[in-house]
Amino acid sequence: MFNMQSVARSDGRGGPENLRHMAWVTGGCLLVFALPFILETYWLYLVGVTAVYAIAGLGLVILFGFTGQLSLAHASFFGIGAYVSAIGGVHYGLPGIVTLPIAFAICLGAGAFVGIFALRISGLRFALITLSFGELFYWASVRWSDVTGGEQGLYAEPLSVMGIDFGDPINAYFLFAALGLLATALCFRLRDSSFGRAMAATRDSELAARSSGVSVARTRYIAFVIGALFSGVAGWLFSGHVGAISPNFFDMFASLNMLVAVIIGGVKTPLGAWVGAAYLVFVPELFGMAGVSNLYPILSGALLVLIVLVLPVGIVPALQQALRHLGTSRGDKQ
Amino acid sequence: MTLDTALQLTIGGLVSGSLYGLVLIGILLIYRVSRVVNFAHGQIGMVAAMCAFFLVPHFGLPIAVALGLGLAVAALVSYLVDILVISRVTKIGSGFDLIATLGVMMFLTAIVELVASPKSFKFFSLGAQIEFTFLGVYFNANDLTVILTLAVVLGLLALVLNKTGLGLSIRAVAISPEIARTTGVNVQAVRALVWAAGGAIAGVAAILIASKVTLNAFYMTPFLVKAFVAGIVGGLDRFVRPMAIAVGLGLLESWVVYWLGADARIPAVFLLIIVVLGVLPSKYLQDLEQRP
Amino acid sequence: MKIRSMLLQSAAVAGALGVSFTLGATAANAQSSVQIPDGTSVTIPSNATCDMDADAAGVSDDTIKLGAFTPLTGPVAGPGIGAVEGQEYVFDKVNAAGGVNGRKIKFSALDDQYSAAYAQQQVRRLVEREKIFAISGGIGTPNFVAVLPYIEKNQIPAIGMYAPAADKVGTMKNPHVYMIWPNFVSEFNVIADYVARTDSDASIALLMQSGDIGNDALKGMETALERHGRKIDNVLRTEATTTDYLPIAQELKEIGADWVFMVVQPTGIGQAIGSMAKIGYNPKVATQSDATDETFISAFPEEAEGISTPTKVAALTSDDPKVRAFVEDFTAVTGKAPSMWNTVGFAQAMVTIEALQGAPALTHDCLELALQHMQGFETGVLPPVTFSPDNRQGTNAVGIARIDDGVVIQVSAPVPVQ
Repeated sequence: MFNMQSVARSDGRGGPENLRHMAWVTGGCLLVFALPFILETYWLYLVGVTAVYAIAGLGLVILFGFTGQLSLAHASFFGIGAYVSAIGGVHYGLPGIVTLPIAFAICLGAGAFVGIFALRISGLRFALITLSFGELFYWASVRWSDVTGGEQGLYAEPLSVMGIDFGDPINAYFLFAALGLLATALCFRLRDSSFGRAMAATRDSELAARSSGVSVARTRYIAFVIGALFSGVAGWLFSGHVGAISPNFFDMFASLNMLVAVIIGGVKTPLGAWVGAAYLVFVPELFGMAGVSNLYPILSGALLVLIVLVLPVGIVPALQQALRHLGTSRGDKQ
Repeated sequence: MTLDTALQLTIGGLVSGSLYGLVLIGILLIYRVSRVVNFAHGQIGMVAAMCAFFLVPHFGLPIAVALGLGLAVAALVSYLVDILVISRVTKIGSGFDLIATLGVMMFLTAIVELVASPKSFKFFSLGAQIEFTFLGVYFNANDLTVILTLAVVLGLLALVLNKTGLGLSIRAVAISPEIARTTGVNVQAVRALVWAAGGAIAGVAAILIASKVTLNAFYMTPFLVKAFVAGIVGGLDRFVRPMAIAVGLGLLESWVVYWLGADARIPAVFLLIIVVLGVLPSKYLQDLEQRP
Repeated sequence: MKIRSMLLQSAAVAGALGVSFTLGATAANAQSSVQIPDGTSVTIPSNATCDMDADAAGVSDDTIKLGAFTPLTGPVAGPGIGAVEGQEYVFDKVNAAGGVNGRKIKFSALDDQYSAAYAQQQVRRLVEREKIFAISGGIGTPNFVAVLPYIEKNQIPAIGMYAPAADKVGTMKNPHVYMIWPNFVSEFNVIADYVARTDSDASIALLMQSGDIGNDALKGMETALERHGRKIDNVLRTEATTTDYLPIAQELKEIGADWVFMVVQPTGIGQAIGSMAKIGYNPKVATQSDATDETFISAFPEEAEGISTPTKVAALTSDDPKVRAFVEDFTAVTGKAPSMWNTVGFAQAMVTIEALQGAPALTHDCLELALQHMQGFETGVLPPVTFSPDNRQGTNAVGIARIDDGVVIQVSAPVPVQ
C-alpha cells in the first residue's frame, strides 16, 4: 500500500544547466563555511540538531523513500547510537571516538536482526514489527536503569578527538556539516547506483522488480540495515551534542516525528531529509521569534494538515517543480 | 488460583478486549472505503465524550440526550475530516495520508485541551454503580453494557453489510471505487456515510472507555494503539480475524498482568507479535498486500 | 569584593515598603495580606564575597527577566499551568508594589510538554535568546534533569523547580540548583513512618510505577519501616501506560494487605483504587502528595475518600494565618481558590523574590550568594527555607494529610525528614 509513483526529477541536464548547478554548489559551500562565523551559538546548536536529524532522516529516505518500507523503530536505532556513546562515556570512560565503531557494530547487528523480518514481511505488518522492537527498546531503556539511567537517562560529554573539543559550537558545526554532507553524498550515490535502481523497483512494483531479476527480499534487507546505520551514527552524534539523553527521545512518537519530517521534506530526495529536519527544529523557533512560542504545540497539528493540503508532494519536490516552472516560463519568453 | 479469580480475570480481559474491538470497528470500516489508517480515530471519539460531558451541566440535558448529541458531533467531525482533509490527499500510501491523520489527531487534541482545560474529569459512570456478584465474580452493569454494545454493533454491521443494498455498495467501494462508480454506486455518499458511521462508533467506544478510566484529552491513545495492533496483525481488510485478535489481546493482557506483573505486559505483548508475525506462513501475510 | 551591609539594608527597606500593598484586595479581606518578600532572611556574613561587577544578562535598569520551562500542553499541563499561575500571582504583586529595587519582573514560561527533547531547546532559548537572569520554578523531573548539564555549564541559577530527583537535584552535584521540595524518598519515608507508628500490626503492600519515582518511593519506605523493625510485605509494579487495573487489584486482593501504598501517576491511582473497590477489597491507601491536588480529588471523588498522603505544601484548609492570607488574597486577585499546584508556584516565586531582594547585586554570583545565606525564609506555605554554602535542599519537611469528604485535612504538621 505504500506504493508510490515517482515524482518527476530534473533529468537530462544540458550545458547551461550544468553551469547553474555548479554555481548552486559553490554558493552552498561558501554559505556552509561562512555560517558559523555569522550565527550566534544558539543558532549553531540548532543547526547541529538539524544536521543530526537530517542524517537520521537520510536513513529513512533510503528506507521509506527509496525502498518503500515503513519503519517505526528508526528512533530506536538512533537511541542505540546515543546510548552506546553515553554509556561508554559514563560507565567505561571511553572517549567518543572509540564508541563510534561500537555503536556502528551494535546498530549493524540490531539492524541485521530486525531486518530479517523485512525478508518476507512488508507494508503495515512490517511497520508493526518495527514498532514492537521499538516498544521493547523503550521498555528496556526505562527498566534497565543501572546501565541506562532509567527515565532520567544519562549525561554525555561532548566529543573530543585528538585535542579538538567538539563541545565548542564552531568545531561541532564543522564536524556536523562534514558528516552531514558525507551522508548526503552517500545517499545520492546510493540512489544513482544499480542498487538504487533495485530499491526503486522494489518500491514501485515488486512484481516488475522480480521479473527484471532484482531480489526484492535482499534489497529490502540491505536497505533496512543501511537505514539503521545512518540512524545509529546520527544518534551517536546526538548524545554528545545535547549533553543528556533519556528514553523519551527514542520512543514511538520520536520515530513518527522523524517520519513526518522526511515526508514533509520530500521523502524521495536526500534534500528532503534536510528540509524535514529543519522543519522540526526551526518552525517552533519561528513561533518563538514571533513571541508566541507556546502556540506551536497547539498549532503544530493544523500546520501539518495545511502542508499536506498545500504541498501534496513535499517541500523539496514542490520547490523543484516551482523552479522548473520558472525556468520554462522564462525560456518561453526568450 | 481459584476458579473465581480465573473468571474475574477472564471477564475483565473480555471487557478490555471489547473496548479495543469497539475502537477497531471504525478503523476497519474507514480503511475499507478509503485505505487510510486513521490516527485521528481515537480523538474523534474523545470529542464525543467531551461534548456529552459538558452538555449536561451547561444545558441541563439528560445524560442520554447529551450522549446522543456527542455521537452526532463525532459523526460530523469524522465526516468533515474526510471531506476537508483525507479526500484531498492525492496519493494514499505516500505517507501523506499518515501525516494528514496525525495532524488532525494533534489538532483535535489541542482544541480540546484549549477548550476543556488540561484537567482530568470524572465521566458519567454509566451503570458502574449497579454492582452484583455471581459465582464469586464481581460485575457491574457497565461491564455488561460494554460487551453487549460490541455484540450489538457487530451484529448491526453484519446485517447492514451483508443483507442490504447499502452494504453491497460499501463492499463494492471497498473493492474498487472506480468499478463501483461505473455500476451506478454513489461513491461519495457511501464514503461520507462510512466516515460518519465510523466517527459515531468511535464515539460509542470513547464514551464507554471514559466511563471506565477518566476523561481528558489523551485517554484514548493507548486504546487506539492496541486497536491498530489488533487490526494490523489480523488484517485491516478483514473483520472477524482482527476483531477476535482485539478481544484476545484484552484477555492476554489481563492474564499476563496477573501472572507476571503489569511491567511484563509490554514485553509479553510485543514479543508475541514479533514471534507470531515471524512464524506465520507467508501465504497468510500476503492478504494485506497493497492494491495497485 | 566585600559585601557592604549598607546595600543589604537598603534592599530590605525597599522591600518593606511594598509589604502593605495588596493588589486587588477588596475591603472585606484587606486585613489579610500576603507579605512580599523583602530579603530579610538573607544574612550574608561580612567575609563572604561575590562578583558584583559580573555581566548580568537579563537585568536592566528597570527589569529583571526570569524564565521557566514547564509543561503547558500535554498530560502534565495541569500542574505546569497551575504552578505558572502561582508564580505570576507573586510577580504581579511584586511589580504592582514597584518591583525589586525598582526593577519590574518580566517572567517568561515556555512550554516543554514534559519532554526532555523540548526542554533542551527551551532552556537554550530562555538563556541564549531571551537572556533571562535566572530560572524560577517550573514543574517536572525528566524535563529538568535533562538540562542539568546545560545549567551547570552555563552556571544559571535555578530556583525551586519542582523536580524531585533524589541524588541529582538538591545536592552539591548540581550546585546552581536550589531545591525546596522533598523528593519521593522523603515523602514515602514520612508516610511509611506514620503508618508504622499509628498502625503497629498492619501488613503493607506497595504498588509502584516502574522507574525512578517508584524506586525512590521504595527506598524511602524501606528506610522508614526498618526503623520500626518492619518491612514491606509485597511489592507490585505497574507502568504509566497501564489502562486496566483489574488484574492488579485482583492480585492485591489476594495478598490482602491492610495498607496499600501507591506511587503511580494520578489517574492510575484513581483507577487502581476504583478497581480494588469493584472487587470488594477496600484497604487503607497511602499515596504521593499529588493526590492532594483538587484536580485529582474532583476526577476521583469516591476513590480519593479516606486516603492518606504526605504533603509538600501546607493544606489550604489550614487555620494558619499565613496560609489563610494566601488563600484569601489569591482568591480575591485571580477569582478562584488556589490549587495545590498554584501553591507550589507561589512558593517557588516567593523564594526567587526573596533571593533577588537579598542579593547584594544583581549578578549570578551575588544571587547565589544570597540564596546560600537564606535562613528560615517563611513563604507561609512551606516550612522555613534555609540554604547554606554546602546545602542545596532548602527545606525537606513532609507533613501528613488525609482526604475527608473531599477536603484535604492536615493530620500532622510538616516535620524534617530524618
